[in-house]
Amino acid sequence: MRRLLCLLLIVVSSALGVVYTKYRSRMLFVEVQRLEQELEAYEVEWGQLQLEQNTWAEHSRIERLARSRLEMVLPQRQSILYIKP
Amino acid sequence: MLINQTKLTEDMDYASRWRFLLVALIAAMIGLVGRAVDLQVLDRQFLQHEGDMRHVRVIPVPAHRGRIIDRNGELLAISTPVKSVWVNPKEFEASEQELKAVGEVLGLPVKDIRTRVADPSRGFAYLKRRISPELADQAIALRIPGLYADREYRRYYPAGEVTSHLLGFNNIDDHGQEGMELAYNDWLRGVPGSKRIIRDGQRRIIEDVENVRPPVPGKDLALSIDQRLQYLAYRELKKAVMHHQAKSGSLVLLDAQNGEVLAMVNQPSFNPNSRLKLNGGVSRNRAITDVFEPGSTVKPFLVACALELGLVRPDTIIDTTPGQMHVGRNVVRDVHNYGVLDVAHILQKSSNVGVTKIALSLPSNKFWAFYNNLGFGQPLDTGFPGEASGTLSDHQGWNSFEQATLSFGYGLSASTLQLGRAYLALANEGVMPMVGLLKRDKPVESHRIMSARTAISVRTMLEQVVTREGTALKAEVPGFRVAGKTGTVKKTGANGYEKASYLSVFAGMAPASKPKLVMVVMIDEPSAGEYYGGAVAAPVFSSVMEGALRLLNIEPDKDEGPALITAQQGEAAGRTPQLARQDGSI
Repeated sequence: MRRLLCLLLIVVSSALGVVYTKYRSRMLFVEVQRLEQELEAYEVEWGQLQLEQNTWAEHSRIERLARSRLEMVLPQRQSILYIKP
Repeated sequence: MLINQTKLTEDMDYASRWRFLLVALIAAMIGLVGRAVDLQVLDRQFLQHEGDMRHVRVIPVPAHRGRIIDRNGELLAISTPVKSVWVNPKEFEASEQELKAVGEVLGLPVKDIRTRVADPSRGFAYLKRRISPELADQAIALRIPGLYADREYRRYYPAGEVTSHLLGFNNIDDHGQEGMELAYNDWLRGVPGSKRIIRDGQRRIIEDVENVRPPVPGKDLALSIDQRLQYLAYRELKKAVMHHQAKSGSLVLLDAQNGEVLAMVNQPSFNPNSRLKLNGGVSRNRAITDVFEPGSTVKPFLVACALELGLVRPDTIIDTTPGQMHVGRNVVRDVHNYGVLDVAHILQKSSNVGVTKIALSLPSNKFWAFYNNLGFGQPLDTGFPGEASGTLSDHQGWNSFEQATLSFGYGLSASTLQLGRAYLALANEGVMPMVGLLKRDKPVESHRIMSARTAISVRTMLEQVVTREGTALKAEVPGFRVAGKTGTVKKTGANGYEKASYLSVFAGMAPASKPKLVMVVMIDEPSAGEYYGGAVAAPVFSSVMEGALRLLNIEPDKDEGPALITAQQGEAAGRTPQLARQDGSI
């Protein structure tokens, strides 16, 4: 009788263990999905930032700004000084 | 008694019924248990499989396509995640208002959406592909049954039309269709992964079971292109093509020492980010795929061949009077009568009669071999799709007139890049490296075509072309010695060579004392009046070369007095270079 009771106890506790691990795995799965979505969002943002940086650094834009806003000019050949090491 | 009897018979009746019921129940139970055993034990695999088929799916996970970058790591092409919105018409159910809302978010007319979801026998129809993830999320947030969004990648080309010919483009499924995207599709593509999921009855994903195979992202591709030079070359070429109202134009800029292509641009161009109206005429990378007769730009090679064979020296005198000569039944003409010229001046003035006389003195097999070694009629082996090899007919069939025409660049054809490759031999002391579009980390295969002495001697002659007396003063670059050759080529049409239709070509290198860059400019049918190579193509060469030399920090080799000083001088004098410069008189 005592042995039977003991076995019953083990069975119940193992069942509870299964329930708990299942619960844990569900929670972790939700977490994984959330992180994956976050990662995807970051990937999107990273791509967009790269593109944005490229747009800002576009050669034609920099040249236009240098010429108009900063009033830079290409130096004449005569005013360039080359120094040989 | 009577009663007793009936009671007895009743008892007997009930007993048999009772037995009958018992047997029936046992039989039913055996049947049930048997069926259960049948399903659970015998047919288990089959049934489980059927169940899985209805709920467990392996779905692909798209892989990230590699980037394309230039030699300095600048971005040329990148894939960013986007979403595609699709519907399952079988499940789709939306009120009038919801339809309107979806249409607004996706920018689709309600009528279009209706036609797409009209056929209930289909289980899948795209509503809109490749839109920004935010938009797709907004659409999904409307919670309309049967509306889904999947992740995909979209390719962006930040440099737009400047690099469009070279890079090519992908189709909607992200496979390379043209250019480097096609040539290196396998390298860039990556391997899509897959994962196993469980869906519910509405096809919603309820659980990720496992990753069957994680996606392997594609590898980055580093080109030999320098984006700064590419942009500069594109701007100048476009300006020239528009100014001269030309049909098209190409320009290639090569590293003289290792044959890497630093810039390769064409006109007309297209925007690879939105190619609605696209045809072969616009999307072709003409610099590689289109061949033309190179005209006078091959004359230096003829002279090099004659020098190499010891048949002439730079100061050998040749009489070109009266400015025309008969070869077989044909006549070779010069623009003017140049009289008596030495070999250097034949190149400077680009005299057809002069080169014809030299060409006719060459043995045809040697002549052919020399051109052949320079890569005329030979593939470029860049791996670029649609690459042309040009033509050079076999010397066995040559008559004297054909040999003469080859000396001034008719009767053979080459692409802009092939012509550039041939000029590498002159620029690189007689050794011609393989040209390539990928960044190199080790030296490449190269072949000696002529002796260093011949190459240097021809280069010195070509410097005389870029002078007031030569044909290409406009190719001059301040501070640098430039060597080059113009070409003005009559185009062939349906009725042979056409009168008023020309190609303007300029091929050259700088700094001429030790060339670092080789450039070929080809402008097709300039029709705004000017058409000489020296007037149309040479100015493009000059402006691009000037900028390129400055961007690459190449020191000038033309002696211009005190503008070039050494650091030691400045330090020894104990003052800044600027001060030293002010003292110097110009």
